[in-house]
Amino acid sequence: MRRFKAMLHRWKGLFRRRAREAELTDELQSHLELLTERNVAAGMSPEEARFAALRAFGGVAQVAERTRDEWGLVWIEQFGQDLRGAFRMLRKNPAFTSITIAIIALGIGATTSIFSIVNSVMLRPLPYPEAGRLVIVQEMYSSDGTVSVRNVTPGAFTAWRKQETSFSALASDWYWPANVTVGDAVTRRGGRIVSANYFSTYGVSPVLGRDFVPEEFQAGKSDVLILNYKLWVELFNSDPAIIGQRMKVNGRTYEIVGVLPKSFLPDPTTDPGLFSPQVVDAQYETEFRYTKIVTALGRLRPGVTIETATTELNLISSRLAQQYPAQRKGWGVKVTPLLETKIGKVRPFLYLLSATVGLLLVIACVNVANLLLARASARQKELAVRIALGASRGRVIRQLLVESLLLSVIGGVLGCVLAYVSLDALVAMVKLTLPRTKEIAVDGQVLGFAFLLSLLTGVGFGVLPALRASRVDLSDAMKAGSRGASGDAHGNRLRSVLVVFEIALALVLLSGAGLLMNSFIHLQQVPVGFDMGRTRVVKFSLASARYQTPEAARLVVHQVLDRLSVVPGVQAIAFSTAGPGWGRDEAPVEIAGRDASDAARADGVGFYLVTPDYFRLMGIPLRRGRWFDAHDNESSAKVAVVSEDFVAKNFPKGDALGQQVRVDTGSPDPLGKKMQAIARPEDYWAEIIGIVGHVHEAGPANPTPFQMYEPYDQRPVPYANLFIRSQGVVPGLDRALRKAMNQIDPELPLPDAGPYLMEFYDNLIGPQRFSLFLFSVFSLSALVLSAMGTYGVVSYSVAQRTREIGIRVAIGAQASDIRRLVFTRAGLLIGIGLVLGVVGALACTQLLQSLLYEVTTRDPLTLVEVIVVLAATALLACWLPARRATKVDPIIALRAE
Amino acid sequence: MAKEKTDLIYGTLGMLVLRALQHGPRHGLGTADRIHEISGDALRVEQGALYPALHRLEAEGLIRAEWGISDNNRKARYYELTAAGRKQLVVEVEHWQRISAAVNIVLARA
Repeated sequence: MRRFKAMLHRWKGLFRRRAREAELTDELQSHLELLTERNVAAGMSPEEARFAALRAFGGVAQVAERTRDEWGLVWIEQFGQDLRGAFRMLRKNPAFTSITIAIIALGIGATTSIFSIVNSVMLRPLPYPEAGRLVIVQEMYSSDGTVSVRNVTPGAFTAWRKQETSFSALASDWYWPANVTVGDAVTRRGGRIVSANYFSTYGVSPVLGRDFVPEEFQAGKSDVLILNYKLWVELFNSDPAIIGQRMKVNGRTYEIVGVLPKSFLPDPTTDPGLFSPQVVDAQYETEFRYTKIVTALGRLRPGVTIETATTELNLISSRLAQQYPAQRKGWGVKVTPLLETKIGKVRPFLYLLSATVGLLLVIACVNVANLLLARASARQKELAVRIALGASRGRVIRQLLVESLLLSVIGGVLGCVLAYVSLDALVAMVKLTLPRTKEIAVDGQVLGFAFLLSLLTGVGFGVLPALRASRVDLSDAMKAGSRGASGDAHGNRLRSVLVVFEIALALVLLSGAGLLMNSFIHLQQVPVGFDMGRTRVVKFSLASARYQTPEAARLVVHQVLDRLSVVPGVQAIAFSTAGPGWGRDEAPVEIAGRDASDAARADGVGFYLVTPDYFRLMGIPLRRGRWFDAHDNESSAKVAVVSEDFVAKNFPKGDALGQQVRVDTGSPDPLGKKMQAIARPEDYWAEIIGIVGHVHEAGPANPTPFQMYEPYDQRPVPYANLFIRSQGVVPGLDRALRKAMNQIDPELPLPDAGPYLMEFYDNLIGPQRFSLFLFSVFSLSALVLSAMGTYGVVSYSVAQRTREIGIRVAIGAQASDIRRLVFTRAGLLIGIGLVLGVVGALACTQLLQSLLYEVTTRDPLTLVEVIVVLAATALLACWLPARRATKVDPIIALRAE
Repeated sequence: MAKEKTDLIYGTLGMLVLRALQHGPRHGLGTADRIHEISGDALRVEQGALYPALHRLEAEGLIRAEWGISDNNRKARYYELTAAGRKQLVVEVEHWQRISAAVNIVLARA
């Protein structure tokens, strides 16, 4: 209670300040007068009495101050004073203030931007309830040292579901290419065919309408849809009366029963817009063909670990293998947390990103510390006076820290603004490299982080200068001349150390950038196996009921090929179901005469249905045999063309031509209800008639082996991509193409400006490009900062040694001698920095290895180039101070203090 | 100003002030005189340490202050014990006696 009363009293003290101060003065004065009178009474003269009283009392001002300390909340008042003083100091030195704040803003801004990415992508849990328990289950085949991981066959999924106890829910989905007709418009959308508890496994439920009911998972009742939010907004304008309306998908009519919440984005890349129920029947439950695979999502029961679940599912799988040995032998499971599947691959990249930006921040802080040290030297006198007047050293340190904190908080705020403003641009750059980019935002967590960072950096770069500055030798400081650069040898040594450190760090960053640059150049030179040329790609969907039969599809494809190939400017034209640069349709392949559970079965090929001109258009070289031609049609023998690496692996004796292979893609829906079934599986055996060069479908950095092609005519499907290759830029080509298409069927989609193949493909080296960009920006900043630091230290040193230089000139030194003097000293600094930097670079660039392509981290050429660049820049920074040194007039130098 | 010395007896200074005010209000100088007097000239409080102590005790509610006229017609600020102050004095004396006894034992033994 007593402490509380005291506290209250102190708070009150804050307010009645002036009155109480006046009172205190009176009180102390009266004390002095009483003492004086006493002394007079004891026989001293009035002046003596007064002096004696003062002496006995001690310093009045100090007593008053210490008494006042007992009043208010001292630290708040003092903090207020310090803050006001700091503002004043910053205002009086606009150049220093603006440069320092700029550097801090850049450092904190960059760090905040990167953190917002790392936080949203990696640290934050997925936006589902208890997302930590969500896992993806896959099938895993291991034998003879090869391990293969695949998504799940319906039969296996059914078996697990019936027998497992580890999961509170197990759901599945698979990709459903959907051609959506709304009014007259037809667009191709991604969709998903889902199992009964799909949405509840995630933990979401529709915001409009309802989830699917159990009856809808039966044949005949499954023509219902749930839309995702974005599709609802886009196609139906957020019409609240959407429930019950009908929609045409792939030529069939569906009823819309629900709309999902806006936040539900299970797969932003493919962005599924529609969901439809999976019909489960006897055939589904025993479907073990790998062409019908689904993605299995599970929610672990509370307390169940992944290991437990894996063991249980493996057990079920081995029981299944006993039942169906031909299909199931050797297949087990792999269980991975859902978050891991999304970010697992980019985690090293994100760590690297964080480390790099951290390095940049350190360099920025070192630079600011340097600037502060310089300022502190200039303020020696002011601080000396302060201390002489009675300020404790702690108080001075506190005040200097408040100044640096103020700088860093202002810089931090600006940095946040910078991060916020550049967020959109940054997200655009990483969109193709990173998952969960839609969740990236500068939110409360990020801002909190930035604030903390500001405080840390403020203390970080402020504490050293503060400690140094407060250790002022009073007599030295008072003696100093008005130049301000008083004999502060120690100060400059510290700054030199900092600059050496800076140069070393800059070297590390620069060598990282150099290596990435090298790797990037290598990447772009990798032969990709095809010729991109000037090829436009148009996504083609034959959605209207007119083309729902194989014959109709074939017909329109031929019509398009015939009509458009005569448009002037078109060099070649072809259809293909897939293309290099965007996904590959992977399918397992069987070779006639080999054991069905052969390793070849676990491998997949990139499967393409193409029209004959595709190979010529893409510049894929023919190695042996022949390409498709007009004779390979629906009534002739089924044929196939394979890539040479497939042949090398499976027909090492070189007898591939004439062999039979089978790829059973069928359609994603085993009952063929959602899309036209084409032919029965037995009909799919095809003879290899040609061997072509291998194509890097997924970019030079991701080798994807094995491609197989079959003629479109023999397996027409209602979707394909139209490849149009033109000779350079042809004006009016678009119009001509559209005109030709309209003559065939005005409803056929032909986006006027289809993207170029080049664009798709370029995106594949997005990660490398982004890393390179970032590293370049960071290392350039580091370069500039270390140049600034070097300049500062060297010019300071020159200013310090003005006298010495003056003497040298007076006794006959030439300009070149003086220059040499400056450069030697600077050169020593730079040299040490470079050596340290090389050590650091060799140590740290190991971390880059995963991002490098055909470049080793110990590449000597890169290192040498980087050293040269850095040394040259640093020496350049010395040029101006050196020049100034040569201009020193000995008379002035010697005369001045 | 030797800061250390005052620090050592800072806690006890408060107690001494309370004691000095036990028998009636006094102003600052008077309090110092009283301590000097009671101790038989052994303790001389530094005038400059006195005022912080007085104001601290006032802030804690153990003494209260009022302006008055001194013997020789000067304005002075007089301090007087409050009820809480009286109670606190008893507590502090007891505490001091315990502590100093313990310290003496330690010093005697070593």
